[in-house]
Amino acid sequence: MKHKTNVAKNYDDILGPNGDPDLISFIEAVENLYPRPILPKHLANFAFIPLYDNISKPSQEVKGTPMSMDSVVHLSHNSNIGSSVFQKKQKLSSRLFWLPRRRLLLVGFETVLALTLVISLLIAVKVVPNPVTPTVAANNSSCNDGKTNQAQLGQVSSNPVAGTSTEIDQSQTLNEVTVTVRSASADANRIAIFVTVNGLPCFDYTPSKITLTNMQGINFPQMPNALGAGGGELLFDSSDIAGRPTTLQLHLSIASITKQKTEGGVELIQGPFNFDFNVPSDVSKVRIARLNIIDANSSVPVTLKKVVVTPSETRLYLQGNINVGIDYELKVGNILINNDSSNQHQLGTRIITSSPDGLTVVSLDSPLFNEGGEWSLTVRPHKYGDTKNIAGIPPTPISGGPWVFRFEVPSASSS
Amino acid sequence: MKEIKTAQLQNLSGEALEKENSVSSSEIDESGKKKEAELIQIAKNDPAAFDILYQHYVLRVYHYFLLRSFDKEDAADLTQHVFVLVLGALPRYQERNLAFAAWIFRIARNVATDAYRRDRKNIALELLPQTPHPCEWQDPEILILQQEKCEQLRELLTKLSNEKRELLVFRFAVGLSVNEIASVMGKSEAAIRKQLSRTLANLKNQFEEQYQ
Repeated sequence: MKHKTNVAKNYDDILGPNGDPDLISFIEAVENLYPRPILPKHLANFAFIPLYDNISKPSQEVKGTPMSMDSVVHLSHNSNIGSSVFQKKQKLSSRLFWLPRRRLLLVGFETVLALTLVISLLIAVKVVPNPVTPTVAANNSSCNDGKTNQAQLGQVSSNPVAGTSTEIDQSQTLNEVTVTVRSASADANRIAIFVTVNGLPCFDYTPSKITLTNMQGINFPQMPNALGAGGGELLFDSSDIAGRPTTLQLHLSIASITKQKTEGGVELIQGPFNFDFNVPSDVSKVRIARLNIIDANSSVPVTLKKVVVTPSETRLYLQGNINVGIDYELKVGNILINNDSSNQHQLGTRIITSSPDGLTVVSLDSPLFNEGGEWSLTVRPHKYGDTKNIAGIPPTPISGGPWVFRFEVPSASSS
Repeated sequence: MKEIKTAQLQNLSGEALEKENSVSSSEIDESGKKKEAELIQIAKNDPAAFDILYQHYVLRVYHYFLLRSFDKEDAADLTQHVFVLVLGALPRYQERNLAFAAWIFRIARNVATDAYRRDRKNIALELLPQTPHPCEWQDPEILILQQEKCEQLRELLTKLSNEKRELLVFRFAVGLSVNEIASVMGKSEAAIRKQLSRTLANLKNQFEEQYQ
């Protein structure tokens, strides 16, 4: 009887205050057709760190005491909200999770093929190439055996982080897990640090609770990278460095490593793994266009506030009511240089929707630093799926777009 | 300062969401919703608070994807995807426009539709209970409805349109209120209420006809 009362109460929005008892029984039957599933442990184990934490923390706090993530773990163990039976938490913060695991395997396979092709070409032509991003270079091996694949490692060390990178080669071993900072580079957009776990960048190991600070205690927010934190290359936003120093004295802390076990489940290797190193910051190589161009042709006006181009990245700062990632994506769009259709670069490499100043930041890894002339940026809101109804489900209506901006980016010297 | 914040979170999580993560949003009273709103505000700056919200909603989102006929692995992947999106967009979330549960499930629905369109060869859009023995009656009074009746009811659901099935999933599996479903599906509350009532009434009539 009590259950029926609950049903009547829970469904009073369709039953009304004096619900038909037959209908209540029927609703109960329908409700019971959907027994709740058991939540997989790995879903219950996730914890969160902010993708874009703009709060600067004093260095002692970063080094000496647990960060906010520890309170997440603490809370989850004490709040009776489902996960207290699980002892380990796993980080959910990177674009790694934007791709289903099967697709990641496919990506790995494709990268191996691509790498083989590149190496063959190099041997044939005997030309020193542009460095290949190491995250692409070595994600084909299983790291679960904990052994270093020397051949792969050789490739990795000879192909440091793209751009002007500095070899660091610092290692720390805890609980039979060796974390190595192999190299790092920095410019006015981002700091890239190439880290290996047990010799290789690997999806089986995911560094968790990563913080990067400088000597002044400024915390550099971690950015999602294409292959995720376990992919080897850790990216941090350096756009707010004060004073544009030529050398950055950095402290990298990895609180723990999550290891994907072959038999399923995860194992937490507790750190922290701490590293202190210096990286030359190539801040002179930056082109900034402060624009404030409004495209009001669309029903949702959007302003292109700023464009910042460095050798590693091009960032577009957009302002407007563009709810990226929820109603649509901004993957359909490009930058066309000098109206030359052969010189266009696709958007969608990385989108930060929660930048500290509330702007939507779209970034491209395309090498645009040396591109002059007129740039034409087109941003199209891309609906999830196409425009046709599928199985009776209408597409989510989108408002606004496409937004088109034409502008020039000053050279590095005049920026 | 940090201790105060942690205590505040524990307090909020305890008061607002201690009804365990299986609670439906329609079961959260006004006070609970107010506490949830406070938690959301804190979560905009503090991932610890977001973790509480995650724990509160994750099972329902996962359940939704299972009912959208994704296998367990894909459902888990898509659930993760949804919460990455939610976390990224949380600073833009404004309660006055959309209830939080509705906001999450609007995202989940978009993600499911996107995944379905991308992988349509492998996914059937069933929106039906998946378990081979769907009826696990817990109330002795309802035991008179035997397994055969459950199967019959399930059979009736297969004859419904996808839209109606989704409506039932949102209301009875996920536990969204009529108002929240209206927000998720982009329709008026009155339209959803009417559609839901009609669907239920028709189902009930068909069920009774078949069983008598």
